[in-house]
Amino acid sequence: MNSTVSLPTKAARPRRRAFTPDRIGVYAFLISAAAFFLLPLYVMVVTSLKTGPEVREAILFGWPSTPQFQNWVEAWSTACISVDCSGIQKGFWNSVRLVIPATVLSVLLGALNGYALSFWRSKWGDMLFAILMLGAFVPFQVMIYPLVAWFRLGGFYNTYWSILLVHCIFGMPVLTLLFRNYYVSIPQELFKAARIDGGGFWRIFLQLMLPMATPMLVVATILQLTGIWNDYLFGLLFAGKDNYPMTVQLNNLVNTTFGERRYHIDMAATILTSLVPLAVYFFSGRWFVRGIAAGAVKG
Amino acid sequence: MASVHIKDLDIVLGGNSILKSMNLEVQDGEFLVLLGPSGCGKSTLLHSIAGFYDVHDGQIIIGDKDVTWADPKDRGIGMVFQSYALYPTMNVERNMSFGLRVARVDKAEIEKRVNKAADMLQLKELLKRRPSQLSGGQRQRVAIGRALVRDAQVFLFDEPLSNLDAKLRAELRRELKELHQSLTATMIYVTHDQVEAMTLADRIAVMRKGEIQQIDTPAMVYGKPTNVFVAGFLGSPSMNFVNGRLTVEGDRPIVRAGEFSIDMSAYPFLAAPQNGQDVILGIRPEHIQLAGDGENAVLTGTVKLVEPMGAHQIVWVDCQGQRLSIHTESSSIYKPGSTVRLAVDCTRSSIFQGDGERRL
Repeated sequence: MNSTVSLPTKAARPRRRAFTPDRIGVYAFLISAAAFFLLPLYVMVVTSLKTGPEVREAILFGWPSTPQFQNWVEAWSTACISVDCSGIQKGFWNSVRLVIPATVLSVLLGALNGYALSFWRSKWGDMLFAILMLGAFVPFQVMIYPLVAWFRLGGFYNTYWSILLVHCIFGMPVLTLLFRNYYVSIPQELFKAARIDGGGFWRIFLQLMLPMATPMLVVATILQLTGIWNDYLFGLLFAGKDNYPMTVQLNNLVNTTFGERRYHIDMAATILTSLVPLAVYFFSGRWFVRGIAAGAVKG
Repeated sequence: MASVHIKDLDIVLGGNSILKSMNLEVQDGEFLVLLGPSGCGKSTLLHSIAGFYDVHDGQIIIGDKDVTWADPKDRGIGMVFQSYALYPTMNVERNMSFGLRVARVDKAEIEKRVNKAADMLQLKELLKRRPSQLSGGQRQRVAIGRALVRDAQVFLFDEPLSNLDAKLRAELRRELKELHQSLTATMIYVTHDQVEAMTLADRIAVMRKGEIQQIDTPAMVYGKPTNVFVAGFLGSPSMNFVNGRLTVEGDRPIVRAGEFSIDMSAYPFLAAPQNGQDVILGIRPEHIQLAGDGENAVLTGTVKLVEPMGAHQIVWVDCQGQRLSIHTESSSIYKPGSTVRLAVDCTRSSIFQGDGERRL
């Protein structure tokens, strides 16, 4: 069996071509889709940099002749909201003061809920979870009036604490679901091992389960941070005048009407308001996708 | 070190009775293996001993303490799981010391114990690594180490080697046996792998449907199985079973199944054999010899299939309508279709009553 078989010559490695027609088509579609969604942002930015007369020329996509960055400064510090002419900076700081504690608190509560529901199975745990999920499907507008009534009864309606509490409550269903699904994918054996090692409810949560859920923590934080920052209705209804978040201030600024409408200032204020969620998405998009994907595969 | 007593234990999970009045005694320093197919309740029993399930009725005693209602951490146990269950955010050292840190053992003592366990399990170089940076075998060593540092009275193993490949499994199996010999600790080990059970155990408890079928030394469980289930569960290839009828002719008991007939005079019956009784005859593959021409043979058959295993071979023979597997050394060559003569070692066979539930 020593006959030589003539093997075919070595096949050439296929070359990868960067630009095939279908590839160009794909890119063209992606770029136009991206442009479509970026268009409003573009209009906002250019309008905010125009002067008043320039805006009234009504060339929506036109580039400002000389970018007026002082519009932003004005919106921030001197624009008038009814009689108060200190811009929307107060709203910004109100939002910061609200968003950080509300995010931390609601995320921790969600994680705690998810952890308790998936590992410390109590008799009514599943029932509680079902009710909580049901809560996610009830339009929240339905709950506004009862909440207002209760808070007034409790004597803290229109205070900082009422708006903080509202955000924690309404974050609960989604955050609990998020963390529960993550923890359910973790083998019970891990929890059992920790029990044998003597870990109690809090120790297992704080030293083991919370650090393990880092991707979920990131996702939940992003969700809450942007959600609470962008909230308008709860802020208007529950925060009270002194604690109005930036979105409410922005609305008041835009709706303040005396004399001519100053669209460029409105736009500048709008950009300032949306800067925080924009930045969050911009810097954490990768984490966000990773966390969602991890949840999708495992949950 | 401590003994474990289980008295009339009932475990009900989700409305289903998993264990019913289970009784089990594990001696101090014993290596007991709970063996059975999946769903037989062996893991449930182990996890009940660990304290993860509420006891419906009965008692669990470890050492001289009733721990029926004690918290897992207060039972003096260490446990190793199939999925390793290492804490992914902690390095090896912190994994092993977690329990001690929880118990506020002082630092010098923690270090001493971790180092001792790491020495025993060759984990010295891995102490600073995360579980994700370890291979399966190393992870399971760490899990064993984590149980060791707790200085437990009883070690519980829940299929610890099932996630490992065959070679590693054999290696860790030996290490576990050596560990048991050097620690002389009480160990309870759950597995569905009969090789692990045979090699590791002082005693094996074979379980089925929540009940212990037989609990005895590996040699007894293998050699004198109490029923067909136990006989069939241990041994690879499985024991040969012949469904037949026992006739007593003169004082010679003979098992017949169609054409097949075999004189069982040499068999040590537990009670006097009854004529006309339905029986199941069980013969292990290694207790049938392929006889040479001059030798004493009781059966003849035709070779159907040969499975070479390297060190030995399994010859499948059609013997008067019964298919028998025969374990034989690999030097002789048997061709399919050839006729062979068989000698059966009747003293080491098993005869069960017709329903397979009792050894005769």
